[in-house]
Amino acid sequence: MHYIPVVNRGEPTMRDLENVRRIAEMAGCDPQSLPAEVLRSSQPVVLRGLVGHWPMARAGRASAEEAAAYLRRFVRDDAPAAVVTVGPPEIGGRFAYNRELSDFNFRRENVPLGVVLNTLLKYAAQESPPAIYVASTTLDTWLPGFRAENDLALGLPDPLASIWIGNRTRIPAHQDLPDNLACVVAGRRRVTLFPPQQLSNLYIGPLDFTPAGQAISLVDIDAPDFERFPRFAEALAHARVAELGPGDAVFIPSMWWHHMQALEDFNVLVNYWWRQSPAWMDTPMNALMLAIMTVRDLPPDQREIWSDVFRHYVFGAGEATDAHIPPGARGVLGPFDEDQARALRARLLQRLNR
Amino acid sequence: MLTAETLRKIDELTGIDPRALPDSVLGSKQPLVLRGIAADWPLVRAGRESPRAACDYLLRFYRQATVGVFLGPPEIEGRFFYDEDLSGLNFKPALIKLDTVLEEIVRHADAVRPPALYVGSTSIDTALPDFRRANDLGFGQRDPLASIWISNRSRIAAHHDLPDNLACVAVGRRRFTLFPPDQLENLYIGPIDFTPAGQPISLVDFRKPDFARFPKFAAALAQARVAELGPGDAIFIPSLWWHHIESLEGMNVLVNYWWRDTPDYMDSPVNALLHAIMTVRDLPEEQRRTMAQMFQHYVFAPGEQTAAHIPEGARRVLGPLDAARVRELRAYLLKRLNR
Repeated sequence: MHYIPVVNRGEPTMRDLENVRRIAEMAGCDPQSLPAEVLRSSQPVVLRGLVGHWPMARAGRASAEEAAAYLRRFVRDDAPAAVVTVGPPEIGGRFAYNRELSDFNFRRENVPLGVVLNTLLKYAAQESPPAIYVASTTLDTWLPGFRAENDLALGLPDPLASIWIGNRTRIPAHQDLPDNLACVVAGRRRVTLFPPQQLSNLYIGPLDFTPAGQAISLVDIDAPDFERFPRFAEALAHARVAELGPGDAVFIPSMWWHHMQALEDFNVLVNYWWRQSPAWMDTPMNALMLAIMTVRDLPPDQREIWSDVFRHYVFGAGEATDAHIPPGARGVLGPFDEDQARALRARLLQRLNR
Repeated sequence: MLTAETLRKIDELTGIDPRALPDSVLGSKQPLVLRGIAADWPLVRAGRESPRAACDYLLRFYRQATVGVFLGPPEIEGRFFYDEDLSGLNFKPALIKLDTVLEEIVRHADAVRPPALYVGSTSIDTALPDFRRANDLGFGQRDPLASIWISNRSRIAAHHDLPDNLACVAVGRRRFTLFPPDQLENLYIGPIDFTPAGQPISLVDFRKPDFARFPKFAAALAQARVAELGPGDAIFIPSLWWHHIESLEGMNVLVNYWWRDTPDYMDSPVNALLHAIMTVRDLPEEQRRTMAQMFQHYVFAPGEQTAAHIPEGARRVLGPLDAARVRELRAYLLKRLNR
């Protein structure tokens, strides 16, 4: 692994976008046995050519038409319609909010996948087509059989394999709890990553009104408004970027902010998501919003107390936290399991339902 | 160990008007003792006479109310707690007519080893309507919940409550041992989802602390503050201060007032805590650190910057909350949790 160092720094300019540090790269990984140090890393890494041997990637390298034709082999008439995100040409492929953030700048439609593929090819010749995106669509549901010819043995429990199909789209920086291995199989993608700590420099938007489930950065990365978002210059200093072609993959660790830009008329990505923790642990975002509701607006001295309580039981919890309680009596302070998670969720639902 | 001589005394205030308690008391960040603030209450005067007289006075307001009672065998010596291995409790909760409980307490008032009887936090206006007409304090704009506590000798393990608390000893004597909120770790607080009376409690037996098992309790004691209160005395316990309460006589009655200075819709942070234990605590260390940072950013140390970049009308939970916004947030979270 080697790193390309940051080039110059100084006043933020458009050149910053060109000078962003590259994501570390690793070549020659055996796709059938990816090393654990990659899949459990807390640093992103680009794996060039990892899935170059996939029939899908070969079709993607040939042309958009061949890629679409290859996909069509797996499209089933009885598959459910795909959810398509569609935006007018004016948005330049950037799915986000309207100006006031009172609504989104796109709409969603249910369209059979075969129709989406035709539509994308039809628009490929056009100068400024509408932005079209089929995001995170479960492979085994919509394209059964695809993975028999195009898959990775990750040796992980139950990864979720999804496909993403679209034209020139730009997905604002957001983060996911699962680790992510994303493989470009058609078109090209520019991946811009920021470490989790860049939260406050990315100007993240609303938490409870989001384009696709996750809060997004309000900064337009291709034309950053540094007057409105001055700290974004600092985020850029920590950014890492890579451009991926068919067969290339990137490992995005849990909670890394990622901006995904598709660069061609026809782009396909296959990704794997998995959690290092059991699924019943659910997303921490609900707990965060509950804490905003119940803690944030307390008088500062009381908020400080709760900060200590959360540190004690959650963020700094360790063996000493419940060592003084007999093992059988630790309840939620002991190891959590699925039954406790179910009981706790029921308790929360009841509480929220009053 | 826990003698009034070795531990710091709680500050005392005198000359406070019981009909108009000032903000210097009700908004205090430190505990305070108000000697004699309820000395004129008829119940206090009756209690000075005898347990019988206190009982008879209370029965004047009795309207057949049934109350929750903790019943413990004499062996527990009034320490309502868990059983040996914390798989259950060392007492039984029961629902009994209030007059029966009062008579039982009076009957055992002079007994050497009575059963332990404890009526905890019972709404006065429900159980003894009109009692407050002659036995009350003035809270001005605040609208506290007034409760009565009736028992013989008891020891209630250190615990804390979210509301601020003003507690008046009306009958008997009580010893209060308080600890600042940050003593959480040194108090060895027990299970949080199985508790004797709703709040997690310290596992340390204050009468004979086991310092081999609970070594950090010595550090807690260094921060402790104590007071012994007699009839008519009151104590202000600020929100989240840990308090251990002993009732010292054959019959004891306490009247307390709880209030929050925050709106009701804010609810208790405990559910957020439990949810964070479930969803954050056991994440890989790096992910947990990231979540700690997010909680810091959005919850514990929010500033003007946190939402300044979002148009005012679009901030939702990141903007100021009110009852309507919280209702929306609840509905949103319900949908997300109800998958």
